[in-house]
Amino acid sequence: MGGKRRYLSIVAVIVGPVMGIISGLLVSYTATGEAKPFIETIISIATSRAHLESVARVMGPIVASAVGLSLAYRSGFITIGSEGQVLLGALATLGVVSYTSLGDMGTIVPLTVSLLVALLIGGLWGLIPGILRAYLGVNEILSSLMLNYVSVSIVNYMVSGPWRAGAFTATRSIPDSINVGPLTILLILGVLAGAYEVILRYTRLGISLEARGIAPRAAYTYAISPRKAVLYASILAGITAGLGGWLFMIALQRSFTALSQPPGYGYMGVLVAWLSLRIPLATLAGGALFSLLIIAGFSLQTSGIPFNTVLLIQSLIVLSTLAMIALSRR
Amino acid sequence: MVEITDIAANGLVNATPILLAALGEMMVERTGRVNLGVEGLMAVGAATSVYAGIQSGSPLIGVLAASIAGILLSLVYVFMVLLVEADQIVVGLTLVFMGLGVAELIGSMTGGAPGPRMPILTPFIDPLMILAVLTAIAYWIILSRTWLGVEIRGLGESDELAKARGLRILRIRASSIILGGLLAGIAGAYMTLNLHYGRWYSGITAGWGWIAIGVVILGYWHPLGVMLASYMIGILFASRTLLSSIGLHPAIADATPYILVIITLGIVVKLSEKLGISPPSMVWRRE
Repeated sequence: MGGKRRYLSIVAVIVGPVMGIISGLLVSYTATGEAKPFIETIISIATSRAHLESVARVMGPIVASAVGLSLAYRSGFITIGSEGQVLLGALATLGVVSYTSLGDMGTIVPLTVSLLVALLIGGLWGLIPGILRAYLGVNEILSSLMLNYVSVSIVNYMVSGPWRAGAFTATRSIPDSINVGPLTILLILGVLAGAYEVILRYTRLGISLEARGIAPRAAYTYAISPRKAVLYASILAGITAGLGGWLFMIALQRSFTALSQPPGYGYMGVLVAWLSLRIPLATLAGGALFSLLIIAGFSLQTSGIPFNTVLLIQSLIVLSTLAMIALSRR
Repeated sequence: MVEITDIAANGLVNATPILLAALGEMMVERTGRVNLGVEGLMAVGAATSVYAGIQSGSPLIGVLAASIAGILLSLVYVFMVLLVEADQIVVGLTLVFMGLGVAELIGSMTGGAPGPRMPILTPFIDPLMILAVLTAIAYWIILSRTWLGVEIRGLGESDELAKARGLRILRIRASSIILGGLLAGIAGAYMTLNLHYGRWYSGITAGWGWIAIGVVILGYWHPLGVMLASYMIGILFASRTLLSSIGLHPAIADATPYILVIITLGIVVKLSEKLGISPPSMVWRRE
């Protein structure tokens, strides 16, 4: 298993970026008739400090979700609720920092308290599909997806209702004094991925979760009941997405306006988790690649290429990696 | 009350895209596979129908183009899952994002201009509504009265059984997946050309593809069950305006159908487990 995984990771590291470049050129050519905009954008991002810092900021919610999802997926709990958990984690963060008196107490206090609240909200919101699965047998893919739309509604309710500030449907912003820099974000993500790697490899809980994903019945006999495994996996995935929401609000979003659709960072975490072969540490690389593409997508909008085509590039990367994995298994 | 009849009629309109997509997904699941990419297939259909509709000026061409787009995207699933044998769950999920991306590319070419509206027969009956109902009935007859139906049911039962009986596994699965793509594409076309007045915008499918997958479970993989479940969900979506008119915040009214889908799923799954019924589609069985 270990050797095979290592071999597959090497394949994935090559296939991902190559597919990214090919499909990026393809999209660029389809939308504008020439490949130049894509090439120029990628070069300008790779050589600009400001752009690379934005890549790190975007990595926050994506990698944080992907780390928790990797664990959940390895245990056989296929949630895609990270999108909603990121949103509610972000909403909780905004609430603590901008709508309580904690926001005036320097930077450390509001950052710490909002982080804890975001983790809690993310974990609890993630637990719902876990409970539904464990006690009622409701498929977690569907329930977590539905909850994502409920999360969008909750954000829209707060934006247009209780937290509306000023003439437009927008909330207050995070005060300028409260922020986290790109290096701090990378550090947090590194520690998080490392911690989840340790949980999966060296703790009883992690090993039983993984065993459950491979052989549910066997895991039951010597380790942990399926019900408990589902509940743990759902909370552990929810917590990281909550952290992703905190990073999303503090380092990226800063305030909320009404959402017409989910912003998609949690969904990209889903793709990154699979792309990274469900290895927490590998999500740092997968997340960096995806975030680079997102920043490229923002820049390419000026060339008339719609932003969501980034999704097409990203899914082609994942599909080719999946194909590689499946073919190498034969 | 006038509003009740309005909701009943609007429910029918809302139910049609869900029914079309759910029937397609039911066909896939009956053959023992699950395609989670319905949302992406619908999005591509939605964008393509407007683009082709504008280019040709004909809603019929719009619908046809949408169905072809749905077929093309579902071929990715056929290739990845049936031929390469990659994980069907992950491929399905990825197909959603791929579909949303492609839809965006095609949709941006419409420049926000409206496509042709779909013709209606009477105020609340249109040709695609009839197509959806006829498809359900036809599939019901095939499933229960023909040799092909026996084969399909065998495929849904287990891979080993299908192989042992020498069923035409690849051909039937592939054609069911392609039919599923076609129907989801048409469902997307219905959303733009009918529900949203011919306009395409980003995020138009709003999770309805996922709801269609839920509807397959709610209707318990039976064509008539799926019809009934689609209509129930259609009514839920139609009553959002009523909910906000009686004082519920519009954002919360928007969320209620999704919450109720979760609750009904819980009830149906628990109930069927209590009764000891096993889903006719192996992919949803629990160990």
